[in-house]
Amino acid sequence: MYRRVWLLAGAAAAVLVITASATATTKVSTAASASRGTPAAMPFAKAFAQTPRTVAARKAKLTTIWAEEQDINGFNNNLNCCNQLAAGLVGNFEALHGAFNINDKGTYFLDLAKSAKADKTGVVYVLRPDANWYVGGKKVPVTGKDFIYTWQNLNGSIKANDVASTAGYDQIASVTGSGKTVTVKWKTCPPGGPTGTNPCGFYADWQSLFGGLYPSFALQGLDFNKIWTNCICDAAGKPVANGPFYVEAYTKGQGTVLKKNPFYYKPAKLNEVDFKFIADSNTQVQAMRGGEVDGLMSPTFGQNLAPLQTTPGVTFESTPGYFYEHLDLQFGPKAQNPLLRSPWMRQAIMMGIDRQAIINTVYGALAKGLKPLNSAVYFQTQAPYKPWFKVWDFNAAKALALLKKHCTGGPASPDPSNSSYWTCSGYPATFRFSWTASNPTRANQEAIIEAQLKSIGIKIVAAPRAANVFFAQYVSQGDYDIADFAWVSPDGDPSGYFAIWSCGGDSNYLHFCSKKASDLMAKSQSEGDPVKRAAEWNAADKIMAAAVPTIPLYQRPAPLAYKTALLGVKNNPATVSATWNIEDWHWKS
Amino acid sequence: MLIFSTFLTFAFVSLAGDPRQNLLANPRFSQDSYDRLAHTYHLDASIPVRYWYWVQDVFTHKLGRSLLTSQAIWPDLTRVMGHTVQVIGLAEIIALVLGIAVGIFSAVKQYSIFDYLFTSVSFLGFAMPTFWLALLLQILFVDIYLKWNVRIFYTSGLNSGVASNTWSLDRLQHIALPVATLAIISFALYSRYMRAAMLDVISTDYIRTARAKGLPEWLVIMRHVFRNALIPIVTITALNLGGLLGGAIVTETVFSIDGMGFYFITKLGQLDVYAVMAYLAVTAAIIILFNLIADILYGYLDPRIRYD
Repeated sequence: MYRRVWLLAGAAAAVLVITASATATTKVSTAASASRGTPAAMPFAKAFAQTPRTVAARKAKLTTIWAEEQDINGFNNNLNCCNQLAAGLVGNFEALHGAFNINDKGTYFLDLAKSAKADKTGVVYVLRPDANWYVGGKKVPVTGKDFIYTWQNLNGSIKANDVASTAGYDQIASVTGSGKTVTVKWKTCPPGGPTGTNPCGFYADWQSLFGGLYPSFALQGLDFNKIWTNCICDAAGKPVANGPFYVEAYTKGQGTVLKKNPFYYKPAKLNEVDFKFIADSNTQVQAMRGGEVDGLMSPTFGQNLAPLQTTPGVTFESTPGYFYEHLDLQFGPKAQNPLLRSPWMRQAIMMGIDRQAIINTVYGALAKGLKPLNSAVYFQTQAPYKPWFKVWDFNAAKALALLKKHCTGGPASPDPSNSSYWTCSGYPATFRFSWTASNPTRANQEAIIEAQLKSIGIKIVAAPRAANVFFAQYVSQGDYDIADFAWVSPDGDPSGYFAIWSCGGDSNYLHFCSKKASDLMAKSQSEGDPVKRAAEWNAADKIMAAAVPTIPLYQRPAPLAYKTALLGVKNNPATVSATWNIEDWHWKS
Repeated sequence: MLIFSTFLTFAFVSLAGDPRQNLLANPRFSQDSYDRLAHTYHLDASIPVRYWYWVQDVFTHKLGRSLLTSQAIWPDLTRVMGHTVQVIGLAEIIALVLGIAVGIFSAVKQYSIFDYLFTSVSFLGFAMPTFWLALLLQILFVDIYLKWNVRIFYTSGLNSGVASNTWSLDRLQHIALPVATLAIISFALYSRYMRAAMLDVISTDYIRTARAKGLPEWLVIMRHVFRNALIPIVTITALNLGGLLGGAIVTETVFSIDGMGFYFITKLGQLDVYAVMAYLAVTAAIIILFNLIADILYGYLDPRIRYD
């Protein structure tokens, strides 16, 4: 008798535990319970309740569901914690617009600003009269106050603000105007010009500033580090947006629900866009095939996406993104082989690598037409691009001739089965090659490069590093000979390369220094004329191409897959990705 | 012992890398910000000092706050634990019921076609890598949907079109595949253990005696054999359940289940030391709890075992 009671009690307890756990997903703070400083939107599950489960039903309700790989740490993506692409894609880019946006050609166009004129003294923005905020159903105009709040919180003057980058905002002396006209003044430079600790003067990438505005009226008095952990909303938890959609709901680990902002000057054609977090890219592919989602937002590029090319009703495309995939060659004290400081060795390495073969093998049919990149500052899809590095295109015979001049003991002709390696000035032509071990694309690249360089007598020793230490412990410390990684540019503007290629630059991990190139880059940072600026960057690029401190591989493709019946979707090389024109998305009638 | 083990774990996770490293990939990220972060989060302090800060946080902030987001860890852990309990609980109930039933039957009908069939099935279950089985199930049910336009199960997440705070058909459709994946693997384990334990007991003298005194066969099997054979199953179930509640990492990742395993692997990848430590503390507690439950059950199953 007692045994049965025990068993029944056990079974009841198990059922209770499982049932109780079923409610766990809704345990996020709601608008009503949101405390001041940490507002939150309603749970994803609640808002997701009416989401249609089939493509046909979603079409009828003007709704679409997209998959995104990563959950977010918060929506305030100017903070260090939350400076993730995912935070932008699943809500930030759609809800928070600013003066400019970036189109599918990768160039800026006016968004909430009707006009914007920049010169050596500052910028004058005139905002659209119909640029408004949506605040829980109410309309509030976008004004200069929002520019002031944004500048004050991102310029680094409030030390407590844990912002990821102050670039550009720290060159502004003042922002004035509380209405629809906003005046920005640059800081006046001292006679010595700008320094690392005193940025000043004209900011060449000025169009990137005020790209995502903060609603000043909704955030006054709140701790900037603590806002928007679970929503994009005001202190009372009401959704706030000046873009085509507002974030109706977010639940950790599951996704976001975006609803149409009726006050956006160009109302969206869809009523709702949902993002569902699906971490595994194979699962994303299956969810896409099975109609559980209508599109994949910036999936990781890999051969596992190949089935989507032939899935009926699915459009798969890739556009070269603003990702500078390259090899860094180390000049610093931690390089194990000083031969890399010799330009002829760097040139021989570059000519020994068949970059087109790498592209064909790694991406194949998934990125048709992708060509090797031949610039260290511009992408091939940008107008000022000039292929300065093309002179070192794959030419094994030339590479071998160069090595023969300075070294002994190598092969007489390029030979894939070669086993003899060069010795130059007493040093063996052997170099460590580092990359993130968990990245299969780069592992393939290493294998190909190792084989190609072996055939001309240069030995590559694979030195893969774990993802959690590759950048902090190796790349940023200059502890590598050759490193394969990518620099990501949010808008393709070359200004970010100043820190990478200039002498003593914060991100100059390869320790390359050309005074002439540095001066040109420094000059370009405050050059107001786009033509002159491009000429300066190109002149610097030409100097670097002669020195080969870096080997550009290719502009990494940005894939996009979506239902063919969903019209208006256009890929974008910038980090804003396909969301740049989300208001134009609509189902085929 | 607890202090020593948590310190060691803390040291190893801390030494694994720098959580700020992803920020360095942004060329506009300044060295000043990098240094300021180190100071704010005590990353510039020695491991023992950092450990002390962590211990303080554990007691003052319920297992502390995330190193990356400064948000409380406890609400995140309870959320993901809830999801894991749903999936693991169902999978284990199914695997136990089927595994025990098949184990008993295989032992009673040793060397029958049934026995051979389920022995093969069990070995297949053991041999299949979790990620492969999971992907296979996904492809199978997507293909069924594409061919007949019938949605039986979903391939990812916890819900789609209905509220997730109650049990519903939609929730079951979503967790069915991860449950099946885990159940198949656990079923293989339990059925083999049950069969082996049953065969051990069946050949003992007291079973022969029970039969000799004329007890019906079902009574011999269920009262005398089954109960005694349950002891090893209880042990293996407690260990398995404790381990799985700590997170079925591969299954939760493949099916995008916001559970313990996925939480752990994400936080480990981000080197969020405090979150990883909190996860390890909770997992250790779960495993100890299930070992305790197993010990209590021994006493219930075997009258010879008594606790003073």
